[in-house]
Amino acid sequence: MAQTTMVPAATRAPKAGKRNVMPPVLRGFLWAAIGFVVVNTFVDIVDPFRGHPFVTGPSATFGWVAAVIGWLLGVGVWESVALPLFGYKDRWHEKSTGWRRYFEYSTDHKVIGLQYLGSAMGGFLIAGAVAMLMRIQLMSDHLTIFHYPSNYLTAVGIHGTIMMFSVANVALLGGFGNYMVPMMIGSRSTAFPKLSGISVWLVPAGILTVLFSPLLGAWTTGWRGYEPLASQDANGILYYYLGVAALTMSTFIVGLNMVTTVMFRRAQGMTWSRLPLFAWGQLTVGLLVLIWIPEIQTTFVLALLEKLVPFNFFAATGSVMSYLELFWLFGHPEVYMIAVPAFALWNEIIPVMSQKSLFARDWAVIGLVFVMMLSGLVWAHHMFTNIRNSELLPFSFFTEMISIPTGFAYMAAIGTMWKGKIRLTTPMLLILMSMFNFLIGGLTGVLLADPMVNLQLHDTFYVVGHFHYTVIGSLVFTGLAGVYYWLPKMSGRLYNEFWGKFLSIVLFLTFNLTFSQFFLLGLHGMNRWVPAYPQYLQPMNFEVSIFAFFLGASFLGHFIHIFWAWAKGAKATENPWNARTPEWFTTSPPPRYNFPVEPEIVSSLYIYGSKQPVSVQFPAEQELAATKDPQDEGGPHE
Amino acid sequence: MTNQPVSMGSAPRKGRPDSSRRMGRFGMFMFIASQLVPIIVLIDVRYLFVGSYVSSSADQPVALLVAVLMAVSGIMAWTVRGSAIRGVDQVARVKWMVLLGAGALLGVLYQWSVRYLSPGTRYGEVFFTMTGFAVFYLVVGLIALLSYISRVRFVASADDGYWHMEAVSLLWAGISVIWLVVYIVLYLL
Repeated sequence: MAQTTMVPAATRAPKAGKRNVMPPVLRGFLWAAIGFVVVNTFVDIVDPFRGHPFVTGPSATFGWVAAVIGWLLGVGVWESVALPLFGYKDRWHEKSTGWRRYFEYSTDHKVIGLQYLGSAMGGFLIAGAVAMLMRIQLMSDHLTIFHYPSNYLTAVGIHGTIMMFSVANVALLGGFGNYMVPMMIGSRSTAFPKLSGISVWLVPAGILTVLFSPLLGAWTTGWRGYEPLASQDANGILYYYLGVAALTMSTFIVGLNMVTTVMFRRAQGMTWSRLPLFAWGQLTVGLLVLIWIPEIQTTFVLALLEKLVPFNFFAATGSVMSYLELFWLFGHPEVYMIAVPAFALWNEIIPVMSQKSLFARDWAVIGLVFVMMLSGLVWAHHMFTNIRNSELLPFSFFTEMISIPTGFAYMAAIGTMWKGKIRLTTPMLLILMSMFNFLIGGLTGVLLADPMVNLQLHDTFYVVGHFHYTVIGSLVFTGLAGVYYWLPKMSGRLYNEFWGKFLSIVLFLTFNLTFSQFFLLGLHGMNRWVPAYPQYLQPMNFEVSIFAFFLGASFLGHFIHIFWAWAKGAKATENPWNARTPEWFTTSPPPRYNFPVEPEIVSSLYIYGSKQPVSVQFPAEQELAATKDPQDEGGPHE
Repeated sequence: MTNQPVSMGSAPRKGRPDSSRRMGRFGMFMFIASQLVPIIVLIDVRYLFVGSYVSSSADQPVALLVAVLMAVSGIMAWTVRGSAIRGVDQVARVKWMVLLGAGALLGVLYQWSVRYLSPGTRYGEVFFTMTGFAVFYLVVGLIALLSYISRVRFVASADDGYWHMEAVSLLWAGISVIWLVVYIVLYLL
């Protein structure tokens, strides 16, 4: 039955330089709009239960699916993936230089990494602006800028959802994961660059979906989408589910790509015992992602059907608790999807800035792996007010236990700094701040793991303070440290050390002055999810809001400084930090395929001192072959 | 320690094709394995809400027919994978797989359209949810199979070492397993 029908390969060469009709992003918006209108109209026509409005729940849902497909195809997936998948000519001309390559489909993992970082920053600014609105509201004890509590709750939901799913899950995983991990393991590409090129464009789609969800009506559940409350909300909740579906799909693809890349793309000599800490972090988080992201996606599909059909899985006649359980099964591993890359990055930067060998490297790796494994055993501490007494103890126990492997990250970091020649550069300063902030988040977490404390403080601002210390403390401070640390690599330029430190100190102070008072507010009885509150809490809330505005301004200051440094900063040397991981053994910014040939790792990447061996070499014969064969093609998965 | 000056660098070399193939298989395996998680959630939902109850309105013959179609196509997918490893195209067999998959799809659409099972009942909720997931996977799988059938008209499978053919057959085999699990859970256990 064997059949082979083929056309000679020579006739199928892509047409280089074919010009697109319009910029891909604009075309993506256009195709998304067309897709939405056509499918929305079609569903309106065939839906036997349609109502009066043109946009109904079912039509908006199916229209959204068409819009996202149109968006992806429009940004370049049509020519570069869809047509070649069916055997047609690859008509996509991928740009290798210029700013336009960041605004279209690409298979270059460095471009994709920057696209992820840019999307995360966009999400951060949007969600941050929404947070400012929330703080303006909370300056008064009664409703002011929000006319109804549901409007305020929608703002809380948008803030939390965009921060968690498009910033926290994206910046270190999709951003630095895509950009740095291949280079750190000595690879010249990721495992699935085409898939990765698609996934990054799901992030803006998801952010915009969540941001504009109020057009379909207010939703009051926050980022958790709690049932049965969600089913009672307006159709805006549908775009919460759909936006999160797009964002989590993007994270899922990142996880799959990173796990496979680390498993199969390591350079010769890059053994598991030499694997950089950050790559270990990506691997462990990738495994978490592959387990728990499909779980929450399924849960959200069930919740979407609950609203749309409607079903009654999580209504009073079903099982209300099941939704909470399904959500938090994902919800707590989610915290470690955010924190583990940060722990890894601490121990990536600290040895470099201390010029001292990494202390207890094996234990640092074991800590990451055990945090990953224990993260699935602690989730019910989010539900202490709802579960039986007999179920409290095991979850309380494991929640407190998880602080032990977390402590390994601290142990390795402090041991490395001990008697080291610490260079207090901006990235190092931010890492130290991150460690302090996460320590506060962790210690308050241990307190909250105690059922007696938890039952008192549940759903108060104490909890809000705790998770902001945890998430901002780990992710945002460490993420900024990563940006400053790798800025010379990504841009070839240096930031201004004075402004870097000054802005970091302002950030640290305003962050702590804002969120430390959340603990006090919580202890004084300030509840979450309320735009109006008892008058006696107003002065402290007013003051917190003022610090929050300065906090927002200091973030803006960092972003402006980073953009300035990227464009106008002093030229950086190739390895300004005297680091030993492979990404520093190529030009800055790196060329398209990172290294002229695949490097060979010949010693540990974390040994510093007088007996410091060479860590990376380039085989001479391969370099010679590369100069003779510059157009060699990639493997089947390229 | 100084860095070595480097050239622009050419595209990654083919280098180790076996490693590249293993990488593709690993990625596909991880993807299919991760999709067991939704199935586990759905199985939980099934037993949580309706126990082992099977509605007397469920259309058992059609469900059995659909499961058989998917089982046969799954076995064919596995043989197509073997052919891909040996470097032999199997367009006709893949077309049969598409036909069987389309038949299974029509079978479910028939069940949905006649509405023997009401979505307002507990079993109906579980039925529509589980079969809805299965249909989603099926549609993705059919698109993948069609991509192979279309692709071999223009591109020699040998160009990518028969990887496209192997990948779609692996995906289809995984989807057929998911369908069988759904059938067993929904109608038998």
